[in-house]
Amino acid sequence: MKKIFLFIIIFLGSCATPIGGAKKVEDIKPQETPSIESIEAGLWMQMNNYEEKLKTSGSRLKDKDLEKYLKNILCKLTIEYCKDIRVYVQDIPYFNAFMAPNGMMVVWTGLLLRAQNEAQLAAVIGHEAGHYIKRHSLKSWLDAKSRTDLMAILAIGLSVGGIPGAGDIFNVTQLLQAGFMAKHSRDNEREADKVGLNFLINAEYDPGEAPKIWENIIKEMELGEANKPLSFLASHPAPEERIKNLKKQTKEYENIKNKKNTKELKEKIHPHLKKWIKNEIRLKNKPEQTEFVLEKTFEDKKNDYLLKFYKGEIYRLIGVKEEENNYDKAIDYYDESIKAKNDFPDVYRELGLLQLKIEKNEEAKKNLKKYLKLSKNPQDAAIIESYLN
Amino acid sequence: MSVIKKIFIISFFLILISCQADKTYILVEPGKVEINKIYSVNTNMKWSQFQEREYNFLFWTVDGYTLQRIVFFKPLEDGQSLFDYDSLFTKENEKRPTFNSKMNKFEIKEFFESCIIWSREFTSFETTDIKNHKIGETEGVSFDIKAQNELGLNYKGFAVVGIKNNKLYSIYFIATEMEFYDRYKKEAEEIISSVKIL
Repeated sequence: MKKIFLFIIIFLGSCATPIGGAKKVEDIKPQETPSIESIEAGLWMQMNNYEEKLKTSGSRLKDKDLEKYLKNILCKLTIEYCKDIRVYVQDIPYFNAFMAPNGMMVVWTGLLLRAQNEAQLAAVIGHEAGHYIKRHSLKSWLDAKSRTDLMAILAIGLSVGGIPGAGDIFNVTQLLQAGFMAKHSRDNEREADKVGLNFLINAEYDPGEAPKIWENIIKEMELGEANKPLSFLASHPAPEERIKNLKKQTKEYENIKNKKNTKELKEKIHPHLKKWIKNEIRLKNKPEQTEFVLEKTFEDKKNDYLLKFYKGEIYRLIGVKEEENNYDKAIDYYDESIKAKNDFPDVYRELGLLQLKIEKNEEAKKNLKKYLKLSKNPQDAAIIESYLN
Repeated sequence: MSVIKKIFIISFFLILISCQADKTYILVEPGKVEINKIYSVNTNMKWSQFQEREYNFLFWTVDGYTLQRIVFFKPLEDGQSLFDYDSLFTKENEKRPTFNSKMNKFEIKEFFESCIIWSREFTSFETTDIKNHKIGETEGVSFDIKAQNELGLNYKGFAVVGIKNNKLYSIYFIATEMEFYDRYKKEAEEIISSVKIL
């Protein structure tokens, strides 16, 4: 056993020889691919395999138009690297995005729900592109090695080295999801922020939006469970420091009114909004946290009735918990939704069904009838009628 | 060989045997079948039944769990969930969806959907086309299922759920959209429509 262990360490040591821990890592050039014998080529190979799986994965959002839209944002930011970076959307309701060393960028739907405009989204995409250009994954790998972090070397080395069976223990998916490959030092984060911000300014996006997305995330985290940082923050250190730096860097641009493109983003995510909000509510985060996410989503006030309706949904789903009756709160929000727009059928259905539960039968029947009238022969009419009779 | 070594080897084999005993496949013959004194159903064909002691469900399959299955859940009481074991990905017990006997028909469907999503077996899972349905004499609902797993394999199916004496009874059929859904749909419909709660 000891011999095998020793062999692995020697093998890993030999793997690192071509580059060496202390050697300076240059920026990747547009359309550059690593030489076949390098460690970087090994990282690319593993990521290419992961990317092939992601392409047909059930977790990939089936919306090529949305992926094309994100790719276009990337190309507006950097035409030089436009060909090198592929953007994928994964239907996972948490705030996260990551960049693999081979040019695979993944954005989770939880991030798309939270970005208030295209400029904020561009800030994240530009930041991730910065990690690619500055070869931060390779730097992290070399840094881990130079610090002789045995477990890290074993974990990455076994995946990259391609030892049969070992990949199952520390496969690349696990590494990615654990944030290891995406986990960068503070210096790398600062560098990626700087690259992203330059891209943002050159593409004429409002640079003031870059710190805002982080401010919102901090606020959301404070409203939630403080001991459970959002997944992105688990691998991206010090958001407070990031905001401070970004604000400092954008100060000279604060009088320039550049584009935010709120409408463009909202149109692209509109077909998914109902499902994403449902998934967000289903996470059962603290209600104040979910309310905050929804308030930012519907900040333009154009769809205030939807904001109120979904807030009602948060409290209906919590129900009666720890002697706190959330149904009253839900009903208040449903009423506010009706005040904002009196012909939205779904709110009458939920309000009516909730009133039945708390035995306000007459009001319930009135609202359920209104639902049937407004929604014109809905698919669930027979069930609603079973409650009316 | 020392006594300690002997004890160690015997213990090792005993552990292996005890692990094996938990997992059982039995053959279900055509005809009327009683399931754990909870459900009674009729089947026209043979199925393999799998049951593991710690799970609160059992399933029938012909070609394997991932290809097609009919799942019968034990009745749930207030505060319980369809999957009581800790999901590998979501070890957050406080966030597990829990049943409440005051749930309306839409909320039962919502609860079922949330439980399956919580189990993380599928990367997407949707329920549609809710209808009134009776499980024997018990009022409930039926609805269709569409799902996809991490590999991108599409699934279709349907479920029936109902509340009797404040307990939730649920059964669902799911199969790969390619090949197996169409092959077993009719048989699954007949089995599920024959279900009676004992």
